Amino acid sequence: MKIILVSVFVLTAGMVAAQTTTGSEDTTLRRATGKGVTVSGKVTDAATRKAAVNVRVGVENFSAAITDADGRFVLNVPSLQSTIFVSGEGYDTRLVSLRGRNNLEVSLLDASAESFSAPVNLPLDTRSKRNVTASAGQYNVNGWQQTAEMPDALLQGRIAGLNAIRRSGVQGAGANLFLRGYNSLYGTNRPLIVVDNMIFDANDYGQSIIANNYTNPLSLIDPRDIDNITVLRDAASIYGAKGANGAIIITTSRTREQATKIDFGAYAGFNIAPKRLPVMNAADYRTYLSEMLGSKGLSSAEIAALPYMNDDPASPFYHSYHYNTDWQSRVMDNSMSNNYYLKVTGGDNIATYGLSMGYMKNEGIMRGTDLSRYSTRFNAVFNFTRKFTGFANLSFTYNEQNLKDQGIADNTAPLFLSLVKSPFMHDREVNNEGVESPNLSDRDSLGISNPTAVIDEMQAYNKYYRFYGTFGFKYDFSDHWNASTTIGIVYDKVRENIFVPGSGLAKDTLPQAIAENRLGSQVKRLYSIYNDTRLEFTKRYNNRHSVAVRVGFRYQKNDAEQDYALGYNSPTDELVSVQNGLAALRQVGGGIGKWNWLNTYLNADYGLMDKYFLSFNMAVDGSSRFGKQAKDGIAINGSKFPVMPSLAAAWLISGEDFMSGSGINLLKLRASYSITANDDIGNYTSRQTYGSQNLLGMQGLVRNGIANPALQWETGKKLNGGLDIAFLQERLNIGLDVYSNKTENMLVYEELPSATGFKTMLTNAGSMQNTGWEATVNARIVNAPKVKWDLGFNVSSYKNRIISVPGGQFTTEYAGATILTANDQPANQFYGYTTNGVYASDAEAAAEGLRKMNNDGTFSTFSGGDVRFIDINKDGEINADDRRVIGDPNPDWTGGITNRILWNRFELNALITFSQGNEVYNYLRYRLESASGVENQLESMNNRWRADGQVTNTPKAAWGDPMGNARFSDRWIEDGSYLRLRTVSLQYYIPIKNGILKNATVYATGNNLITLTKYKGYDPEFSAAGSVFAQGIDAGLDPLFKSVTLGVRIGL
Amino acid sequence: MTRIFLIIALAMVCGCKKWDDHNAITSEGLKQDLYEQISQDPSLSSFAELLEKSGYAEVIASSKTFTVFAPGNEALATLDPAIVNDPARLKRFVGNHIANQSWFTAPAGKTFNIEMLNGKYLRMQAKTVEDATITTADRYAKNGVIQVVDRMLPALDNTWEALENNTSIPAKQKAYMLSLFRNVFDVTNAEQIGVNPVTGEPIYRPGTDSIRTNIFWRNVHDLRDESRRFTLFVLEDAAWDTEVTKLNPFFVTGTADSTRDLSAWEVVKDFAVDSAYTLQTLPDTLTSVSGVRVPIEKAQIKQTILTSNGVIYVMGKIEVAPERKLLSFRIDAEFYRAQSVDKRGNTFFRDRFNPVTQLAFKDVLVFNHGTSRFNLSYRLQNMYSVKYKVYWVAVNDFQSNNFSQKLGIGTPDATLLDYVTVTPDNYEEVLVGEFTLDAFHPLLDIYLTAANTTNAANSALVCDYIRLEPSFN
Repeated sequence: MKIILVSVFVLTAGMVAAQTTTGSEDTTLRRATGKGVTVSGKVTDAATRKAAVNVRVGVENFSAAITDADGRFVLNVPSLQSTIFVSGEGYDTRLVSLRGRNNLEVSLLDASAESFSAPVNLPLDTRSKRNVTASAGQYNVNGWQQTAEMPDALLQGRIAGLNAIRRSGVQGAGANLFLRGYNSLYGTNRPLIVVDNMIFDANDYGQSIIANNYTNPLSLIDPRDIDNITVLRDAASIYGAKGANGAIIITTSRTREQATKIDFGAYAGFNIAPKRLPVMNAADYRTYLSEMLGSKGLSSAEIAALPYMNDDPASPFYHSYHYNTDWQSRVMDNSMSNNYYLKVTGGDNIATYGLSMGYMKNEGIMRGTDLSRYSTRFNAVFNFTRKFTGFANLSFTYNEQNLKDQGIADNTAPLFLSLVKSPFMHDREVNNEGVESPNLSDRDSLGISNPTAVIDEMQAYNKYYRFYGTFGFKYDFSDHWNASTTIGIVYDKVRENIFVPGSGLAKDTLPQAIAENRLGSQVKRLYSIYNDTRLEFTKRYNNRHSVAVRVGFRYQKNDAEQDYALGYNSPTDELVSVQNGLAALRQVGGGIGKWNWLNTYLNADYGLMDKYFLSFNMAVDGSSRFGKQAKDGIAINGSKFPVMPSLAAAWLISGEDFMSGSGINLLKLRASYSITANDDIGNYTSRQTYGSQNLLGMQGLVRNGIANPALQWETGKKLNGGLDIAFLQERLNIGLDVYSNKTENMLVYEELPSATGFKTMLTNAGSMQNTGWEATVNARIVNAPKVKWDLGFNVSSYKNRIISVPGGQFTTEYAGATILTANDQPANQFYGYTTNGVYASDAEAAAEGLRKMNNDGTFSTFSGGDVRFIDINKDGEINADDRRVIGDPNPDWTGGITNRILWNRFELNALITFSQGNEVYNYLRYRLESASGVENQLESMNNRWRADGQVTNTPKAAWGDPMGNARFSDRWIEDGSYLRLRTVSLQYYIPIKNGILKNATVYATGNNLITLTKYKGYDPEFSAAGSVFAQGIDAGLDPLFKSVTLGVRIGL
Repeated sequence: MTRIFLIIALAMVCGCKKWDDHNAITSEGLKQDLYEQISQDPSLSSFAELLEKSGYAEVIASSKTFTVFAPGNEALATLDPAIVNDPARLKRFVGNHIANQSWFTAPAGKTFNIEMLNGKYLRMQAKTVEDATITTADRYAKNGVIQVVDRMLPALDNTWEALENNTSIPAKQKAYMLSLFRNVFDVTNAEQIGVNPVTGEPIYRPGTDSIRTNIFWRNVHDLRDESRRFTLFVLEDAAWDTEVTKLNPFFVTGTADSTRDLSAWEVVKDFAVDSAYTLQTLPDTLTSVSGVRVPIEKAQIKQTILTSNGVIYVMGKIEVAPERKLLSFRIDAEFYRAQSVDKRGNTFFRDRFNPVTQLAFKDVLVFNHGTSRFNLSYRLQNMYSVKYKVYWVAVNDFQSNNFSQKLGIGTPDATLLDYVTVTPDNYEEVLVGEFTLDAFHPLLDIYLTAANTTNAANSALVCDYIRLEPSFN
């Protein structure tokens, strides 16, 4: 990785050096007077080096000209400090600062090139990136190349500073998004997602009844419907109490022409099941099992009497215990995906519309899992009158998912079962003659479920739809004044059902019964109304001053409800719906969440001579979540309102005359400071709530905790500095940002004295800091008429540091890991024991003389074959005091490398993503190398210690692991760095001569084809939950996989 | 770019190897199974051949776990070719060197009793197994461990097999022990053909409800049991005759043969104990299963025969005096067979403390039963033909006046013994009287009989226990 970095920098440096040698011509300062001055120049095509004809050149609201056959133009400009635009069909629009020159040579790149002139969608307007004061990145989505992607996952590696970590390999699972590290421990860290100017609620409210399933609302959006995505890293205070984590602004595609166009796409894909983990085969496992049972205390005669230890083919159970089953291939399989998409756009000068419909079915690599999506979207723009315009964006999407339990669900997650299931068993019943029955075999004599029974008989499905509609109007009172409003509605419903059969699976134990089978049903609803209304004033004075002022408010009213019913023990496995469960065991529950948000905002932008830009934003928010006695904010009518101002400035240095001699096309310095807030503190946490409690058959209410009316928003203070540079006629663009973000009033659980009757209470007593930097480099490496190669590189790095938490530190337990949060250290470090191999002999262990305390207070000493833990405090005992930080899941840097190569009619896009220096906890390997039970283990357990004097790194097999050899230690921490060929897509534009077809393109896309990593799990990328504390923990969710898609797009 | 591809290519090679490195077998020994290791060790070539020939090669190459006690080539040089050429004996011999599960050498002081694949047990202690020494210990393999030993571990006969087969066993005791085969009721293989309508007990098909077994196995020790250890004493013929004859007077029956049989059983039943004593550990007195203390004179040991589950000593003499053989009979009075009249409502089982013996005891009291000559009956077995002294402990702590009760031998009112007065608060053993049996009684009923009155105080019955002590005067 370093070498790649270095080579890019060497390349960059070389270009800078080359540039400085080309001298400057005219640095004379000339002032424009009266009607302005005349500028002449020539526009060429950067690829062909020939003249660019019919290119528009001009100054906004002042003058315009068109280049002639030689590419030459003559233009009247207000002054020689003006900025002129150069824009032509098929070319990238260029803004050029005259810097005192009266003669210009401009060479234009084609429209697809990355440049600073490109328009960026910002919260309140769209403007050229050149004039943006905030730190923003934009990704123009080409959904036709990556049809199976989810909108969150496709941002991976595209935007510096945005770390998108895909949750799992479940279809539609998407990614957890972290922008510039963490801002909160217990609140959300996801940036605000705004789709078509309305806040898109991307939360999965309430837990799924399917183990570790995440219902991803973003999976409802087809990437082909997305035009572009802007990531706003700072200055998001315009979103008030929702802007603490920055914002992701998704703009769905608009109709650009009035002619009727029909686009149709059909795709088929192949998903490749991941390579199996090397678990022991039947022979190795049997040897291991006999040792394990010996350590359990079974005599050699008892072990020899077990049916699987009998090698006589005539014995009754010989056949059913003498298989060598590859269980992983029983639960994972290659699978198919396909999707169809139709889009019609068109209109006239009154209204333009775009209508799209899509169908997608992606099968998962776990057998029996899939995601089907039926999506429709209608976007329209209306020009009622010249002054009165409107728009409507309506979408309705329906998802259907067949799922399985995954992750930490020992009895029901097929992947986990396939790893621990004894390989000498078979998934079908086998009689004494060795004849296989079609019936699935039951839970085996070792108590482990039959993975095939889970695949075949367990039902877990999800039906999910969302209506997401906005419509809005805008009225222009005059050239400078306008008012607009957007009204939106979200109606969202998730229905989940599970059925866990009794036969084939290990039984769960309930408080009053054994669960023979399990049934469940859940409905989650979200209803939300949104309004954003504003008044806008924009004006340019004397072509020197540009002013824009906007004032407005946003209002959101939300209503969420979750209802579930869990049943147990239906009479037979044929009765799968929840009402068939035993009435006495039924559990019914749910939750209601209602919250309102009012955001008033003021925005003022000022630009001087297109060189100096100033932007001021302020929001004052009201929320039903904030405590009435919050410490900060202003009080209005008894409620507290945070005040969140931000100020951003940019200086376009390259617009200054003294820069006219340099070869730098653009040089811009940016700085911003903003105060934001995070309102994700829970709907009712600041209030006194009561919960129902059953005591000896009496039903009553008890306090849920101590009310904290002072509970308030988390405050984010963000300082950002940035530099944008472009060289070589903008063929090389570089963006750099440094930042320091501080979260104050951070939510923490403060411990309470036990006299209160409660353990903890949520307070705003923490603070945390993130510092970091990002760099983005975009270069057109090759720009020949027939071959073009764009190379992009982005990298980012953050350092997270806890400034203070109550008590100085606390730990969190997750998946067997202990995570330390301590002052002056990153928020989520792995905290465990350090090891140094395995004692080769009893004598060696006795020489060190370490011991550990058992649950009953007695001590056991370590002996040969036990792990040699390091006694850090030298007290002769291995206990909690010997833990220390053994890993940090935060990467040193992450980023992506994009490539786009055009050759004749071919286009190749390749995205490489990487994450470097993050350490991960391999929970699966912990389970598969703990050597403490009958579960099958990894092949590495063949190295287990067996006899005195054996030097090995693998401890002995010991029933129940009495010495804690498998405790959370550096044995399970691995390097999670990876470099991945994330997406590669090749497309060919078929030449069309026929008049009916307008265009036709074929696509071949590969995902995750090559991954380079030392990580030993299935895949180094996973994110079991959005919480800070779940990062870097491979909890055994279904892994990511490779896939290949072929498709065709036809335009009529 | 080429550099990047180079790095990628390089990293791909490493990437695929990540598991190879992690899973690579770190110890040479673990790469091979037991048979591979043995067959590749030239010093164990003879044993490897035997493994191959016996079929055990395949077994120890399987994925079960084994311990192989592998004798070196020198140790096997003296192996009887007859064993090698007899497949059954060879299998038994080789099977005596292989055990299930891994058995590693442990520090001295801990003995493992390890079952071999042929069913016999070997004892491993520190670096010895039986009389062989482990020269190379704990050579682990993929599926177990090899202990190289300097001597072969022959599969010996067990004690019973030795008794049957060994020609140096004296004939008379052997003949008697082999004559003890009987059909004994046993439902293991029984076939039920009906249910007794009166008692509800199952009815079995005749001939299936019994097994033929040796009553020595059932009543003394099953000398065939490989998992236990025995010492058996066999008397030389003359000594055997002396011992048996000595006991004849106490087993007076109708025929001389049955008398002799009973005497012989009385002799032989004390000649096996369930520990294997070596000459060094053999004590001078052993206590048999029936509680008889048997004096052992080491000088009288004529021959020592080692077996797979113990040892047989051929003895010139073991003299056990009849006084030691014929033990007292003790009847706990609360465990009576029957009451002459159902008076359970008047029967009390009491927990008391005896200040004389300083022990707690339980007794029975029948009070206010209102029946003349009320009695409790008891049954004794195998009563020798000898004179008995009878004692009891009868604690009259429930009333202050005396009362009387008696023991009826054979019948409730038999007059062999008279009524005896029970005085208050007497915790001592009281001599009730003496009587003589002229013949051996396989069964003998005796009765605790109350006074011939219905008066509550006078007709009380109380007793802790009754003891019948053979008297040789």
